[in-house]
Amino acid sequence: MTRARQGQRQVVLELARASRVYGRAGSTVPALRDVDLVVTDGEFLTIVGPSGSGKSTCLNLLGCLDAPSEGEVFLCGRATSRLAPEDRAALRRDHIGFVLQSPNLIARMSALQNVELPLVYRGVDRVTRRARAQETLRAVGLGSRLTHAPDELSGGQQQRVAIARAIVAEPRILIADEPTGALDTVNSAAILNLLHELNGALGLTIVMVTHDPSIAERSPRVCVFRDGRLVADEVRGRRAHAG
Amino acid sequence: MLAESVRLALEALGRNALRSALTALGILIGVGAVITMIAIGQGASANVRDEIARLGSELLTVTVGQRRRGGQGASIAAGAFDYADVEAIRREVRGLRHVVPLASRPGRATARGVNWNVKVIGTESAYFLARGWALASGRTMTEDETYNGKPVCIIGETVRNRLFGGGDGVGQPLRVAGVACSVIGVLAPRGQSGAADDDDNVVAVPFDMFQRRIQGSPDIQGIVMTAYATASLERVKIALGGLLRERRGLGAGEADDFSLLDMRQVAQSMTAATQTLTLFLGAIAAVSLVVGGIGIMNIMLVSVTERTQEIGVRLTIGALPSQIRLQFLCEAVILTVAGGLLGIVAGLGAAAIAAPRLAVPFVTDPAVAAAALLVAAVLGIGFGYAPAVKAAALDPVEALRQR
Ligand SMILES: Nc1ncnc2c1ncn2[C@@H]1O[C@H](COP(=O)(O)OP(=O)(O)OP(=O)(O)O)[C@@H](O)[C@H]1O
Ligand SMILES: [Mg+2]
Repeated sequence: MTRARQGQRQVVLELARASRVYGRAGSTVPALRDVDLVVTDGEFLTIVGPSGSGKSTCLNLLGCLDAPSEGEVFLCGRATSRLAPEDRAALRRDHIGFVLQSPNLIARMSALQNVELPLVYRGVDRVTRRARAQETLRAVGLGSRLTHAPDELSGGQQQRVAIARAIVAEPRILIADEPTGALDTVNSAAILNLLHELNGALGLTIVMVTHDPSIAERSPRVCVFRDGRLVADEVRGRRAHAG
Repeated sequence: MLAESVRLALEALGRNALRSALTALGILIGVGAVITMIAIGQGASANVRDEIARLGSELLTVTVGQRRRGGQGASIAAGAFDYADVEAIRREVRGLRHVVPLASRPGRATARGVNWNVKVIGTESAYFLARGWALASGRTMTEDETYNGKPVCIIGETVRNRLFGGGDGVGQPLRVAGVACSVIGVLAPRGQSGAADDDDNVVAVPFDMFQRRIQGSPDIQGIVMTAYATASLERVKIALGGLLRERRGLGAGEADDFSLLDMRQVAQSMTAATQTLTLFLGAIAAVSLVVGGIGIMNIMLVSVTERTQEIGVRLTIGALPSQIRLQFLCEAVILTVAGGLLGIVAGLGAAAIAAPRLAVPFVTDPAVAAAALLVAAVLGIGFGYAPAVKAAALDPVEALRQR
């Protein structure tokens, strides 16, 4: 069931002259300056750049975790910059899954419980959410580790649980901030394969930050940030994109 | 959503079980203290009610002198009553079942070589009827004995015990206030034997004999009466007041120089006193409840700080701020309600142990328990609100950066 279609695709995320300045009067840090970026449905976009160049800041805006100081962020056509926290959270819940550098699993809850949690907040009943969490954990290759607590899993396994947790509610977009940053090359390749699989098989839109040039290599589209600006946007491979 | 929030809250509390238990302990102690204090206070009230019921609500007494407001204290000097007053009341005031003169003074009773200080009263046999006081053995005074000053006496349980030990003493000789007489009856115990104000430490002698051989004057300090019905008490009191004022020659502007007291007045003032006591004890205990509530707030604030990163994670995986707020509020309310429930059990347990030692009955009042639980829940919401709002207002990006 692939959502990929030929021709013009729907825009799911858009930054329009978005800026983000940290700090209050006096000492301000411009983390992101005037960034324009369009992400279409089913894309796999990789963001690279030196440390402190504004990659995470950009992801936080795209993922509705944060609001721009100036400019606008559109999620599925909806302007989000002036939403109240509660409404922004609801929008986030309905469209976006997050994977961060550290898996951030909740301690003393089993892998299964961790993956069930997003469904709890979405009001899914107990039986359904258990079934879906099991199914999703199997899909990321952890069918045999359902009842393990986070500290009984390896780093790579924990990150798989985190991915399962991010996609269990079937979001349209997956935001991943250095998802392989804490992993060795073997695990990191496996996680990357998993993400490509999700993108290919489910048509999940993925925006990922990485420091690893070999990972960026595999990506059909790479955006480069420097000093808070988007300085390059390369599209390669088969999916042509006019960015 | 509430059910899920409660579940999430229980889960979070369970992950820090010891701390949760210690926090709930503060509320447990507070609620327990309130419950114990109120139970004891209510037990004291029940005691007072029993006492009044035992005395009889139709009982009416008139004594010489005017009691100052507040009861105790000096009386205004006034002339005593005499037997003509008793007869005038019998003749002129309608609605009275018994009208009995009562004179008393402390005195010494001696029997079988043992001395014992007692309260000596001179009265008529109707006195025991008026006060609903039965005889345990022997008989009451005859009319002949009452009005012709025959040397007989009726003794209370305490006196019997002190002077005659195991025997009932009926038919035995006894000297009271220097007068030799013989015991004809023993009164049934009224309870509270040994207490400072012991009803049972009494020797009753015929009124006539008391006046002539013990008191040496025809003075009567008090008259004890019972009405046929409690409802007619007010009317009787008015008639009685009017009659006594007239007989004592009081002018229109002069205050009464005697006091009329019915048991309802006594009941009211005693009930008010015990209610004040209950309220006072409860208020002191409530302070510890508030302290417990502040403890909850303190721990919840610490908990929010500690779990900041976890809250950030929850916000990234789909939790709404309102859901976070509800979860923390549920945690606080679960702590206070659990503490409250255990506090009710502990408080009633403490009251059950303390009540017999304080000579009050053990009273349980479901309304007080329900109110305590409600207060606990309100405390949870009140003191849990600020931490819950703080948790819900966290910025997800900032929260995630916390370690
Ligand atoms: N909460 C904040 N308060 C103040 N300054 C911040 C904050 N977050 C980020 N910055 C600043 O904004 C700039 C961009 O930060 P950002 O985290 O987006 O960089 P990054 O590209 O993700 O770096 P890295 O590769 O190290 O993760 C940096 O200079 C950083 O110091
Ligand atoms: Mg970063």
